Amino acid sequence: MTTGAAVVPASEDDGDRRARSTERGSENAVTSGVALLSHAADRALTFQSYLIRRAWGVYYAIWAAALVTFFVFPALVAEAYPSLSFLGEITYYALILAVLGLATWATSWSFGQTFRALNFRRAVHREGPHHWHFYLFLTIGLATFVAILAVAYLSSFAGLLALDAALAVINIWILVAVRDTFARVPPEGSIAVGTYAVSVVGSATALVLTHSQSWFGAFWVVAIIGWSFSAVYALYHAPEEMTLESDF
Amino acid sequence: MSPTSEGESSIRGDLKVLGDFLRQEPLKNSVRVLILMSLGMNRHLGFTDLLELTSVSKGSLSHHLDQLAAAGYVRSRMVFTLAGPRLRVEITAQGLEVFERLTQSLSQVASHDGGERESAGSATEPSSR
Repeated sequence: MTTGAAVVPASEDDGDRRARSTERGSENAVTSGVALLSHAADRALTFQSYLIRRAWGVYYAIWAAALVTFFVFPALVAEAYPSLSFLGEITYYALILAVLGLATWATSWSFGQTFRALNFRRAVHREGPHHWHFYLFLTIGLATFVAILAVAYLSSFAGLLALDAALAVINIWILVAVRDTFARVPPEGSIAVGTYAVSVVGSATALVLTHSQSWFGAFWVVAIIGWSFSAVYALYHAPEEMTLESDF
Repeated sequence: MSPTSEGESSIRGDLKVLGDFLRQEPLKNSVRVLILMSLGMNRHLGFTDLLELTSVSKGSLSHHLDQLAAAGYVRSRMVFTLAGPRLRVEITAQGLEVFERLTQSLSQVASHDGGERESAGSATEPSSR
């Protein structure tokens, strides 16, 4: 069988070689461009780790404030004003809804940022797909939280138990999210998940044993303290993620 | 066409697309590419954050941002925060499009790199010439 190379005249072969050499030259330029791009991408991702840890800090802070509004504030209001007027009730529920709205917005903002960073990292480093169920958990978790919160105010015992169950689901989701976001779970992540778990289990147990809403709310103080500490810790230690070389 | 030459022409094609892409004036500088990548992930960043990201001087960063703004990739505006007024740099729809294409190209090149590494590891066929 005659090969293609054997029938090509010498002059054509030279031209082809020259063209290939030029092509190789431009390929080398592009390859060095790709190396530069990869370097830029790595730096952008290192900086992103800092921004994401900071965003988690803001997330812990906002939810710590939200937990105060959901669990401590109602007890204080009930203590100070045993019977609220119609206007008082409207103001009370408007405040709770406003805090819930703010917390939901903070959640979607910080996880939108995380989601895009994960996608970019996956594209640049050819990593496997991230856990899609993590985002499914987010949607289902938040929807359940809102629904159950409404029920909790209508029927005290069953509603609060259901609320605890929904909050337990959210805690699993937070754990998955923290593990997905960071290569190594940071201390504030473990503290947040741990104190939240103590609050969920403690409040449910207290509710079953005492049928008292006060004890239910009291256990959430553990999560509030834990998340407040996590917020401060994350915001304080976030710059440690930024191990950028000075020259770029 | 053999699978190897098909793969080579595919890599060449992807590299060419990326090369053409990088020849655009605003993307010729690595600092501007870095800014675009970070804004693509965050949608908007403060001027101080961008200074930390790029480690360049304020004047140099302003120059790069002007270049990106002139190409229609970013826009800057003053916003009021708890810490006072701050300059916020946002990525535009056009900038996002460029970011998406950049990510796609990098992903394709990275997948070829990975494929080459895998095939280099498993290649056992000796050359006949």
